[in-house]
Amino acid sequence: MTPEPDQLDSVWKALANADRRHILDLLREAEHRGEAGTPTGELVMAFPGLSRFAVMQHLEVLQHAGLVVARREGRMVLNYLNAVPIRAIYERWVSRFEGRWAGALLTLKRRLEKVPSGRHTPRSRTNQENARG
Amino acid sequence: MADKVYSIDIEAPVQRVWDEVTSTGRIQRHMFDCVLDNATPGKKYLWHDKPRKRVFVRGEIVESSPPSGGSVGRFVQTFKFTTLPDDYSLVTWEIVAAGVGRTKVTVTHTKLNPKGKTYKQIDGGWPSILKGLKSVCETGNVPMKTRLMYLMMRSMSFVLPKSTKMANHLD
Repeated sequence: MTPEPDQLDSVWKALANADRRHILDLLREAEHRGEAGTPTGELVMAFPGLSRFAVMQHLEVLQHAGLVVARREGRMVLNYLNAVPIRAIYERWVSRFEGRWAGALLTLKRRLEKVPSGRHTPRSRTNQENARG
Repeated sequence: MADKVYSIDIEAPVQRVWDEVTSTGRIQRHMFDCVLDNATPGKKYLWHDKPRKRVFVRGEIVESSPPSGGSVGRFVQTFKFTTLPDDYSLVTWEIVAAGVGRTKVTVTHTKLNPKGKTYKQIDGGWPSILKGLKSVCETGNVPMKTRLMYLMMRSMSFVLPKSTKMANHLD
């Protein structure tokens, strides 16, 4: 049985690259700082190892997936994170499984807490580490 | 002042989407079942519940230019949650044909205080509203799950603060 094509395919593809996920992180951080959009030039500078062209291509993939919205402000292009496809992924995948995950995590937590302390301290990965795969 | 942008593609003609967004005097399924009482530029508006007991958002309609012949339709409104002390912010809907029977909707929310509660709250609201709008325009209604949520919200309306009461907004 072949799985039905997912409307979110382009979103998954866009998210399958660490640099593109990093761009989304940067946009989100700028948003949390209360900035009104992030200029493309600023994103290019955040990737000293990539050419301007490569960053622009990543932005194009993100825009195509609807994850980033670009707006022209005079001579600048400002980039914004679009939370709508991320919400769609959450509803389509995460919320469907989170009950089970929560249960599994609780079991894990209980087990780990039984392990005598000092021997090995399990540390969960931070969100950022997770986001960057 | 911070900006937020939300965008979605809808498989429906641009006029259909425009009519839904700017409809007045009836329930807007995507807008948490609220009724928009007015869409005339220069006039105040309220987003209230169907029984006209509670008001959730208020402001003024700044512009209403329907899309025509491939041009972008613009619906601009000042925006304030009746439950929050934040100042009026500005919401711009851009509704434009994106291929045959396909429409792109972009909501830009500006003049937001990044430290205010409105800034946080809209991040939960707009994605739901746009997904609801897509569902309404493509299928005629929001999903059953959403309707059940609305039902629950309605039954809980007694917990809403006094600031939402219609009597406070009849100026």
